[in-house]
Amino acid sequence: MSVLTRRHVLGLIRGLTLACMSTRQAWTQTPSRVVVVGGGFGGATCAKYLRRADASLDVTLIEPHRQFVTCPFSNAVLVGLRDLTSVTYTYDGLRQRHGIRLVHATATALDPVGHQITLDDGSTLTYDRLVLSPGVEMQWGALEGYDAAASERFPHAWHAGAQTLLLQRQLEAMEDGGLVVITAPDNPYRCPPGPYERASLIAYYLKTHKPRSKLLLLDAKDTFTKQALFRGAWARLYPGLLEWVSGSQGGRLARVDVQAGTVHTDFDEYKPAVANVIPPQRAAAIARAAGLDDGKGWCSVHPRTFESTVHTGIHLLGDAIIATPMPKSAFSANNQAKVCAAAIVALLRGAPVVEPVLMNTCYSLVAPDYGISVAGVYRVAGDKITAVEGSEGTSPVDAPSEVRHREAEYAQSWYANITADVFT
Amino acid sequence: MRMLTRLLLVAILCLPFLVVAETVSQRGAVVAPTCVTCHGPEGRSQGAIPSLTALSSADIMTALQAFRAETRPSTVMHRIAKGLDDADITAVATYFASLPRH
Repeated sequence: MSVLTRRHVLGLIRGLTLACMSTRQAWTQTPSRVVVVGGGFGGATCAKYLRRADASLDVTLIEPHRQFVTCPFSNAVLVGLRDLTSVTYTYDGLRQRHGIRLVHATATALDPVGHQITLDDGSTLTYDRLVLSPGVEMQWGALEGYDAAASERFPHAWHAGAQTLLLQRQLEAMEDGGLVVITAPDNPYRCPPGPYERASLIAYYLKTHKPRSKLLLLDAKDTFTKQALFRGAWARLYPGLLEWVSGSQGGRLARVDVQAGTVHTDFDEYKPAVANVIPPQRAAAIARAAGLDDGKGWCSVHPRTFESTVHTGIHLLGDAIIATPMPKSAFSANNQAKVCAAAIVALLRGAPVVEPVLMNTCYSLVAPDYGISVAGVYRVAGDKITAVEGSEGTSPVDAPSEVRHREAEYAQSWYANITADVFT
Repeated sequence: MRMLTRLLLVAILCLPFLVVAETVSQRGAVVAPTCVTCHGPEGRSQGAIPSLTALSSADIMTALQAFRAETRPSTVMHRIAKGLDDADITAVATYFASLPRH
């Protein structure tokens, strides 16, 4: 009467057990090798979440520096609200707690067919999956007169660390009544609200310590993120001190001359006491190797897996990619890294990749106790990232001061939590 | 023999529920990592952003639904919550409530 006999059932159970064991064996015999390039918010997060999802993975993180200095909150360092050590992290947690192998070197070349990456010490590493999250590099020469040497005189401070301290010293040394010029580039560039937060905090510093000084923000653009919030706050907090010049009103730079100490637009010449030139940027060199970039200096990916649209087996994250409408932020990089790590684990197992939820929240400080935010939640439709209706937006323009105060506190708390998420 | 058949039958009947449970935990594992960027590892926050560790799954679901409907005041959560559907909300609530309490 019964269709299933004892033998059938036992056979089925045995078969399933064997199937599980053989898969397990295959994993333990040859652990998959994932190489991650870049130890910032994207790469460090990806390495950690890969190992959390599958402790059998062999994960190597390639990062030239032994310590990571975050760009978030480096504007607070510039004006003495924090010191540099408070935005500096080691890789000890990733190494010791998560079993990630750290290699302090620079990746110089890659072979997408042979699945190999070459380091500047001459060694090569073979990978099953490669993750590139190297961030941006300054596009030296794109702005006439501005190269690496010129950045020692007019710092960009768009990589945090020595450049941050250089600009900090220049601001400190400036006499009351001096002119500070900040120049902001065209889109796309790392951290869209960064130049405006920086202008705000430098204005706060000048108002507090050198109130006869003036800050000019020369912009290549006519519009920028959180514009109404920034401009509203500037009018209230820094009237007469901070002036923003849009691209169409003469804000676009023509050239800089560090010998003469001058900054030139099409119409005007300025001789500032301190000049912070934020130049055009592009994906760092390794992300443009082997034809990975789009020819304009940035890379494109399939957003479910963050795998390159050019080469299979290579994933790209963070500031090096165009992931519109997600901005180039630490939050985006951290979030993309988690989606990428989950996708890589699924791909290596031959399992389906789950539908991701992508998110971003960026806080900016307009003053130490005055914070504003922009946020968005994104889904993937087809091969494109799209914002979920109603989720994208900034803090209200007319919020009471308690809300600004709370968002400033949240900014500090966010920073403590995201860095704990990445580095511990 | 009959026992085994019965057990197998029960297992087959339970399968849809097991699959659903798996989906909720899978969904949680996808959505929850986006929460910890602000709320801290395992939902343990340093500073002003609230921790999620002391909350029950009902607490988290009620809060997220209220943020989404803008019936509970917030600075940023009403924007974030609008990006989550009901399945996401259930999944993250289940996920954080299932973590060990400290």
